[in-house]
Amino acid sequence: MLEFKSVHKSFGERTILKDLSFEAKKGEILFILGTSGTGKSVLLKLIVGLLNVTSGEIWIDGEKTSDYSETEMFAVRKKCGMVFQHPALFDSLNVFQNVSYGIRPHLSGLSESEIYDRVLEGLEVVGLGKDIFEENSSRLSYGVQKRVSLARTLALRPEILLFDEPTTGLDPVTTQSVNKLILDSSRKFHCTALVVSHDMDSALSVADRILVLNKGEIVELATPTEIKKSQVPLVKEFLEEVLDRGDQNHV
Amino acid sequence: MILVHHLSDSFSAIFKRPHFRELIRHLEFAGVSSLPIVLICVCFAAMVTILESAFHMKILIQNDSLVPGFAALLILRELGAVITCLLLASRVGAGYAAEFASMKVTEQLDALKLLGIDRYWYLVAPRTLACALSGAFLTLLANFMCLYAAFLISNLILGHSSSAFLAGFRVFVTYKDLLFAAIKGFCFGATIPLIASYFGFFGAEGAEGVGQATTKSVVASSVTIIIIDFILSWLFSHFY
Repeated sequence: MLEFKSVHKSFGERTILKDLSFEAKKGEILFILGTSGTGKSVLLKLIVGLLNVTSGEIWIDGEKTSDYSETEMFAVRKKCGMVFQHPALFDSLNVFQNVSYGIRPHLSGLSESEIYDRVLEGLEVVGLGKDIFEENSSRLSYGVQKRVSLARTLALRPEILLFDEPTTGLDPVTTQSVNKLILDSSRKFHCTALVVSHDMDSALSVADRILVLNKGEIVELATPTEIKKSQVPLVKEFLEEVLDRGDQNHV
Repeated sequence: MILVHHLSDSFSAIFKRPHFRELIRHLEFAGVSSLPIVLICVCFAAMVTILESAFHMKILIQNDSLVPGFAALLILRELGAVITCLLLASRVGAGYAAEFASMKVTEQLDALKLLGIDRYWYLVAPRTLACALSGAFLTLLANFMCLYAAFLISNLILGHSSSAFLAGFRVFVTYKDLLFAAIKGFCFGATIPLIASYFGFFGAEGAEGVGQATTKSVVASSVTIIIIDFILSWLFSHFY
């Protein structure tokens, strides 16, 4: 279980997150929605220690990780797999090397055949196969790079999956398949998933619960059914945008 | 403070078991691929040096017989190493700084951290070793090329005989000059990725940040090379 207790994050005098408290249960898919610059990505980076909290506490599986040292954080990062906004693949490596790279230092006990199986399993979950093992990652399309990036994270078998705007820049068809991937991978590996997004449509179809952030504060935390009835102005704006898109599609 | 941490992390990574695949890749990029441009540039620099020296010697003392030996000394002690590594700084250092800054923008540096891979071990150490070895190797080759170019100019344009060039060469130059040139090349080469990674890792975000990192890296590397050259030249002067 992941828990935020009164987390506050500032960069100098600029406050990004204010007194943030929530929890994500084991196996839950929690969507974090908000407008740009509201601190969604910062929230994810705090979990894996890429940024440090200014005040407050973060607890993962009963351990207070927010004051861990860089060395102690290694164990937390082993539990968490993060899919970045950019695919963040290593240009000099091919697909197999990219996906397998994270397995080697984390799980040095694995044999080469086990690593091979892990890589193949990760790629198959995202709808790819061994035919792209040798492809240079920089030559793949953006959508495929995103899939490989997700496969690299899944190969680590994380307990907590963190997605930073996984569908940004993708076409509607690929967006649907990425949403399905989030759902499938979370259900298959029984992991908690935190998905940062500004796509209410995706959130309504995939999330167990939706957390809405505005200017660094939680303005709503509810199930998709409850969210649809929300009277919070920002949530209503998000919902109207979904309805508008629906009307356009209908036309 | 960040620079001190950066350098200490870099040096501790350099003394770990290197990432051989990356090391080989960067030896090819920094060393082999830089060879043509380095040889062409130092060759012309050497030719200009000997021509200018002869021209002024003739005006001042109406005698240019010392020019071949003096030019050889200048080439071995200074020209070969400094020009080679300044070229490396602009060709390789700029590339590295842009690569690191882009990796920061595209979150590859964060991804490395999350995968538990030390970025200093994976990115900085192989490049530093490759550039240091390439710096020494290219400096030696550049020196031979310079001397050959100086010999040709001395022989074909200034009219000195081969034996006169070699005699002057032997009077002025010792084996230590070659050794010290290689040491200089090694040190200059090592500074290039250390500086490039500093500006790449800790520069500003975005496309503008990539440009700034590249420019700052080339300028800082060039200045550092010239300062280190002064320090090493002063140190080596105690060994003659």
